[in-house]
Amino acid sequence: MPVIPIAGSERFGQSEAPLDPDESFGDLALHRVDAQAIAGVDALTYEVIRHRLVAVTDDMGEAIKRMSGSVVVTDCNDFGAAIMDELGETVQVGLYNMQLGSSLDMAGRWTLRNRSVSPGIHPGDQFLLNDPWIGGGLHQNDVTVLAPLFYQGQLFCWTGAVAHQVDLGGVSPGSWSVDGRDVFWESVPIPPVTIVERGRLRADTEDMYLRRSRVPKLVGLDLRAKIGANNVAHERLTTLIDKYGPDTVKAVMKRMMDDAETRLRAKLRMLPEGEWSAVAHQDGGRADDRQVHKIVVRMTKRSDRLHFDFTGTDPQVEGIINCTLAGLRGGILPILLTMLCPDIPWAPGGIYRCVDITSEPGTINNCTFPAGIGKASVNSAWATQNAVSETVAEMLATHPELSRSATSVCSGTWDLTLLAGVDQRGGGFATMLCDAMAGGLGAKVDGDGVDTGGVNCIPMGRTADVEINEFSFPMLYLWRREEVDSGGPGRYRGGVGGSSCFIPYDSPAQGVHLVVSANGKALPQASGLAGGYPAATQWDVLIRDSSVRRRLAEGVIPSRIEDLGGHTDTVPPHLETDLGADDVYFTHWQGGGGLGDPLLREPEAVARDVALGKVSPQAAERVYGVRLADQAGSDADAEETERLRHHLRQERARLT
Amino acid sequence: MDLDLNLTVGPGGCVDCRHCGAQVGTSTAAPLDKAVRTQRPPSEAGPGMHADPARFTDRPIVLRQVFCPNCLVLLHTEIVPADEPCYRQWSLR
Repeated sequence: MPVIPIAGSERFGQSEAPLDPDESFGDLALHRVDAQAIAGVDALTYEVIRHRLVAVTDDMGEAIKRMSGSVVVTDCNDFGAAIMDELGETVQVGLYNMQLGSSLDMAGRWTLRNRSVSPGIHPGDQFLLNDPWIGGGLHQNDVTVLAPLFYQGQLFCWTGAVAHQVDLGGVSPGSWSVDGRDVFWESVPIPPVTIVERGRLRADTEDMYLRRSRVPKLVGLDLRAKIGANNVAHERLTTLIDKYGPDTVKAVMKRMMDDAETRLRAKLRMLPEGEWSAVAHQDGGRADDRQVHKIVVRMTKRSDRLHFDFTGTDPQVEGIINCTLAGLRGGILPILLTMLCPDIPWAPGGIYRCVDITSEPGTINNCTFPAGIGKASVNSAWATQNAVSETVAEMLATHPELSRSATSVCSGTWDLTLLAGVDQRGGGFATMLCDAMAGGLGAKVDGDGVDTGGVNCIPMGRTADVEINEFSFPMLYLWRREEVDSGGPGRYRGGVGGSSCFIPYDSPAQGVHLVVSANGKALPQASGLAGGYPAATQWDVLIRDSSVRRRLAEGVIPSRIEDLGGHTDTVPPHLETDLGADDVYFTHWQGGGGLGDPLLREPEAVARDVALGKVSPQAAERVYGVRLADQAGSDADAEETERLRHHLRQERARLT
Repeated sequence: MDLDLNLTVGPGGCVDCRHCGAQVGTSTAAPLDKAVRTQRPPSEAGPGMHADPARFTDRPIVLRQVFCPNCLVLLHTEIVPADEPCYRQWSLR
C-alpha cells in the first residue's frame, strides 16, 4: 500500500529557521537582553559563568544516569542534555549523544509557538514529546522532556533532556518494526504535551505515554530521570542567576553562541574556497527490500560559511530508514562539533548560524509524514553523518594544522540487536544491546584510528560490561572481542570494530525474541580518505541448532563460528525472529575507514597489526603488500615486501 | 598548498602527486582528470568484504580506485553500485 499523505500534518513539520526575536507568544513574558548587555560582560565573569553552564549539562547527564534503570542509559550513555535560551536556541549541548542535542532548538521553537496559549507555558511546567518532525529526538524512541525555566515571572531559558527508550510500542518489540512501511507501523509520535504541570507530574499524560510501552515501569523511570535532570539544571541555574543576576547570565548565554559563531567563521576563513561531494549508501529500507538507497551531499565553502546541499538524494522509502529534518541536522552537527569545533564552545545556536542547508522535503533524509522513521537515528541520520564527515574531513585535509582534527568515517552504522521476551526473573523485558558503541574510529592524517574507540556522535558512549548484560538479560556471551580486518586498510589504518556472540540463557521461555537491523552488508559504510579503504562490511550470522550447550557442558567455550556446529546463515540487513535454546547469534559491527595508500604503510606497523590480531596475514599480503617472515607476523621480509608492493601497484591499476 | 597526503597544488595551479611530482590534474577545478581509474569486484578490497553483495541486493557493486598516472600511488577508493556515477568529487576555486 502506498504511503498516504496526511492532511494537516504540515503543522508538525517546520524549518530550522530561528524565531524572530521580537515575536510574541500569547501573554508569555520572555526575559531578553540587548546587545549592550551582551557586550558589557567582562571576560572573567564570562568564563566563570560559561564553565558553570557547561557543568550544568554535565550534571544533567549525571542525574539521568543515576535515576534511570535502563542499561542503555545507565551504562551506555545513549542520552543527551542541553540548555537553550528563551527562544529555544541551543546555548550548550552536553557531551553525551550529540545527535539528540541537535534539534532541541526546533522542539523549543515549536512549543513556544503552539503551546504558549493553550495549554499555556507556566513556571514548573515540563513538556514531553517524541515527534521527530517537530524536533527533539531523531526517532520515536528518543523521548524529549523540555522544561522552561522562569525567573521573576519571565521565561528565562529552557533545558532539555532526551534519552533512548527501549520500547514505546509499535508492531515489534523495541519499536523497531523491520517490516514497517510507514509511521503507523511504529510508535505513533507524540507532539509536545504537558507532562509536569506547575511542578506536579500529570497522571493522565503519564498514563497515555506509558500505556503504549511493553516495559512501562522502565520507561516511567526514565521519564522521572529526565524530569529530574531538568529539575537539577533549574536548581543550578537559579542559583547562578541569584548570584550574578538574570541579565548577566543571559548575556553570557548569548555571548557563548556569538563566540562559537565568530570563532567558527574565523576558522572557515582559514580554509580554501571549494566544493566537496560525497555519498552514503544504505542497503535495504526494510525487511526484504533489496534496493540500495543513497544520500548525496555537496558541501560548498565560501568565505566563512558552509552550505550543505543534499539535492540528488533518493526519495523517501516505504520502510523504516527515513529521517526527518531533525535527523538530517543530527547528521551534520556531530561532525561540526568534533571536527571543526573541538576548541570552540559547543553552542549549536551559534554554530548553526554558519551553516546553510538545502534539502528537498520528501527525500530519505528529510521525509514527510507519515514516512517510516523508526530507525531514523541510526539509518538516514547516521548515513548523513557519514557523507558529511567525508566532505568536512577532505576540506580540513587541505590545512596543515586543522587537518589534525579530520578523520575518515567512523563506525559506518549502528548495529542494532534488540532482545525481548521473559527474563531470568520471570519479568518481561526489551532492550537494545549497545555493544556497537565500541565501533572503530576513522584513521587520522597522522595516525591510526582508535580501535573499538566509539562512535563519533556519542563522545561519552560506552558498552555495558558483558556481566551487566548477562545479569540484566537472559543471555550468555561466548565472546565479545575486537575483529581482525575490520578497520579500513590505509597508510593509517582505521580503528577496528568488534563482534559479540551469545546464546539465550536462563529464560523461562527457553529463548528470546530477536530484532536485527544493520545496513552495510552489501557495501561498506565507513569510507576511507585519500585512497584509504573503507572499513569492513557489517556481518551478522545466525546459527540454528548448534552444539554449543554440549560443548559448554564439556567445559569448552567455543571461540569460532566454525566450532558451533548447527546450521549457519548470514543475516540480511533487517530480520525479526526468535532465538531458541540451541541457537547462537553472532554480530560483527563496523570499524573506521583507512587513510592513504595501504602500500605506503610502514611494513613494521603491518607486522605488528598481524601479531596483535588487527590484520590477517592474508590482508597483510594482498592489501598492504607486506610479506611476513612467518605467519605470526613478528617481522616483515623487507626484500620480498618491496617486490610484492611493486607487483601490487601494477596489478591493482590493471597494468599487468 | 598540500591537498591531502597525496596531492599538492603545483606551479600554475595544476594538481601534482606529492610522491613523484607527476601532474594528476590540470587544475584544482579538475583535480584528477589525468589519473588512472580502475573498477574491480569488491572482494578485491580484501577479507573485510565479508559476504557477496548479491546476497543482499540485485544491483552490481564494484570497487573503484584512482591512481597517480606515474607512480600509481592510490588516491581514492570507494565501493559503490556500479550503475552510479562517482559522487565523491571535489574542486577548489
